Amino acid sequence: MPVRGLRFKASRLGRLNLTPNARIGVVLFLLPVAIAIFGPFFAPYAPDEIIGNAFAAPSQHHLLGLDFVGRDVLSRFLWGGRTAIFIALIGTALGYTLGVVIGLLSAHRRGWVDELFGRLTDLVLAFPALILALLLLAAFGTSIEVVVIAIVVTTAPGATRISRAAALEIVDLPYVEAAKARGERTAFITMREILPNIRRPLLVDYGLRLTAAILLVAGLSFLGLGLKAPAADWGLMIGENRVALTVQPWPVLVPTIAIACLTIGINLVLDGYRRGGVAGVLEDSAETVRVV
Amino acid sequence: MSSRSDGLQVENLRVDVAGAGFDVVADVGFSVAPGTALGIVGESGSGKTTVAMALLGFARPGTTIVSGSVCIGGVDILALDESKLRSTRGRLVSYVPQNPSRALSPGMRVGRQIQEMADEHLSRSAAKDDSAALAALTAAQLPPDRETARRYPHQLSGGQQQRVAIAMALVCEPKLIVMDEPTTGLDVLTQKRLLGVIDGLRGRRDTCIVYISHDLGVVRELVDHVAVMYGGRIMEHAPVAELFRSPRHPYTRRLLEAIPRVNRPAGRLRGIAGYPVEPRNRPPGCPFTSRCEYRVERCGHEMPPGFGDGDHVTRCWRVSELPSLDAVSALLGGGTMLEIPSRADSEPLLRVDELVAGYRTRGRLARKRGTKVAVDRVSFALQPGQCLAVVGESGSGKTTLARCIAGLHDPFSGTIEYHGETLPGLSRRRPAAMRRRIQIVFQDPDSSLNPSMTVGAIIRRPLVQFFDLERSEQSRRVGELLERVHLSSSMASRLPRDLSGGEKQRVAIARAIAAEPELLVCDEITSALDVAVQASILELLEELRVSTAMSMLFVTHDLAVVRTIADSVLVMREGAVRELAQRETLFTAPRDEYTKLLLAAAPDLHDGDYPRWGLDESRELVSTGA
Repeated sequence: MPVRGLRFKASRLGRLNLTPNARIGVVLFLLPVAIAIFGPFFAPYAPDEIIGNAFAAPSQHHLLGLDFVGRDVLSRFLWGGRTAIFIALIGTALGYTLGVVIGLLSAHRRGWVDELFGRLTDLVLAFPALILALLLLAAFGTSIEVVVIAIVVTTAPGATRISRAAALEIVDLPYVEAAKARGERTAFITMREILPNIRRPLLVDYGLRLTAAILLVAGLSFLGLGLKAPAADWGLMIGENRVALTVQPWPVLVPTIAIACLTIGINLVLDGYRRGGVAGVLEDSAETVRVV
Repeated sequence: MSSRSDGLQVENLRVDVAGAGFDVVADVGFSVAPGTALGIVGESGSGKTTVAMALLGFARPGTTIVSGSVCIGGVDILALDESKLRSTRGRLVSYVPQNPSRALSPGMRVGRQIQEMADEHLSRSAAKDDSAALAALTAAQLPPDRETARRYPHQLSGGQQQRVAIAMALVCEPKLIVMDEPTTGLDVLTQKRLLGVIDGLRGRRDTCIVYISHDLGVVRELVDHVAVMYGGRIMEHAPVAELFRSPRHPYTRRLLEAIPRVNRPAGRLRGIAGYPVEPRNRPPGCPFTSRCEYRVERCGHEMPPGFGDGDHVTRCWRVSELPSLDAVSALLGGGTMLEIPSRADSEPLLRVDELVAGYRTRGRLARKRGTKVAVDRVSFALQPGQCLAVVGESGSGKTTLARCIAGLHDPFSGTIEYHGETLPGLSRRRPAAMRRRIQIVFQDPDSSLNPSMTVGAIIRRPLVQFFDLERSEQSRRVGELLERVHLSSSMASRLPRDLSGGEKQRVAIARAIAAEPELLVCDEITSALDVAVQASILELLEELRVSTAMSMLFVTHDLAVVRTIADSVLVMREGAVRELAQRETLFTAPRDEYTKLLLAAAPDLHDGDYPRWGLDESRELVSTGA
């Protein structure tokens, strides 16, 4: 029974048609993720251990040299992906779930529910994400929790908008009407009748929001507002070591490349998925041609 | 008289599914003399649109034209290359699409769109002024003035849009006009007007017309010859009157039997059992074999050649042995409709009283807010076991009425009483028992079923909702319900996208009857389907009505369908009831002018046409007071 349910869910995501670009995307995406997960096991030093002179050039023992207080860059890099990716994932997942629930409710119920959340969404979207995050951090202090909340707050309104718009195209279709006429509950109508049929645009959108969240976390760390100073974090590394970019570029360059790979990778995969959607449609029409 | 180079000659046309090694259409050949029209008729999936596309030198994505020739005015357009084809298309052949609202550019004035065709294809001098465009407008029976030319498509009605599309097809005076179901989706009155326009094009300017349709009834008045297609082959080709009077091919006969008749008391419609054959698993012989009641061993193995004289050709091995038409007609007419006893004295199941419903128009400005009334003080009563048809053009409020009864639309005022009990407006305020008793089936089969649920899950839902059943019992009932709508119970695991339109509509019906309703509301449920599929769905409804004694509210724009299924008829126009009468009274002695207009507009076959149901076999009029 659980196995059956699982298989059912997997088939709902549709087939991932991997275009060549999407293949590159998968590699680009998995590389930094693998580093973030498994990196710490291979780190030669502790990330906060001071072992030499500041900005020492790469050597046999320190492949990427040392940073601004003399810590091993490679070790910090291997340790530094975890938190940012984890925070971005948790934040966007929470924010997206919240946003989609509100969006589906708005589309299904309309009336004052729609009106209220619509205006609220407008209000939040009026602020740029970074400004909003800075505002929250200024008000509640810098901590991981607040960063997560900042991501939730910046992700949810967009998710509300897109899920509402996608759902509005479906709520008046006869199969949803049939469910209403049967007297199905709101939860069933939104989760079973509507959500599965807008999964494709939502998934693509979710990926974009994840990218934005990763960049936001990195940006906040860069500004010194995300993770606290001794912690190893890619964004933080870029900020801490940027003064010596010309002398010892590695502590800035390597995390930058990793973040770039991550975001570009996600985008390529999503693009492939979106096109996969188009290919799916083409497949369907080929099917009809065959039937004809 | 007409030389070899005039008109249209199609020879040995074959279109394949690219790379798959089997054909979509094959062996297709016909010719159309200048000034005449040919109708190509068949169910969806018969290959008629593929042939229409090939006449334009075009193959749909995934298909390729493998062999054959299409000569228009002596030019074989299949032999032309892409650029040559483009430059000759407008002057040799033009196309009138099924859905004009999608074929016209929404942001361009219609005059400009017609002129664009002329600029593209006519010589500079001819295209310089707008005389060609104005002439085309006249021919399409639109007022040839600037007023019309300056309109945008959205400012025109569906019928007018289609006439603009016809004007575009006419402007370059092509030798061939291909029309792909141009009246599908239009209501009867608009269709009647448009058919008049098309009829006026016949015999002019050495133009020949190929008219594609699934409905033999529609082409009756329009064409000189008919080619009946099935499974990608032409099964029968004959002059129109001849084909309707004495159809030879079993398939043609079945198609004719499926046409509901306005001017005849109800004979029972006969759908065609089984499903259209797919190119993939078509037998080497006659494609109709599996559905044919006269098949013999040979049919499945060997495709019959064309039998018959020059004009009337039939591809059937048994053409000379088939039973006489009169014998078959008698068999059909005698059975007629199943009588469902009406209990006139019993209290009505449903009583609608002074119902007013419509939409609130929303606007930020107070003066823009208001109401638009779609249903205006409608009252009627429906007796248990009866079928009431609600008839009207689009915009008559018939669908809004149906939605009110199903609890999907909150009326402004008036009452709906069910068994003497007043029903709340919206379904969620109705008690569950009430919701169970009234079920609705929708018009569009494609959007009636949730695309991400299996057929089984879809039908199971009302069982979960309304009955307290074990899971295994639910599954058993799902299988049973599928079989009741004549689908295989193995279909439960399929997704809606694997189903044809008719199959989807059957699943939607199964979902509705799963709740064991007392009243089934059918909102134009056959209007998106082919005639043959429509007949089989109507047959199914009739059968279900007999076996379950449920009442029906049948919303439709097609009066012919009404005559085959309804006990009484409610005619609506602009929200108001124009006439409410027993079926035969309405058809034989309509009182309202508008009803008469609708009756006159409905396309019908001629008296001598097959099947010849005699008037003496008509059933006695049901006389009950509503």
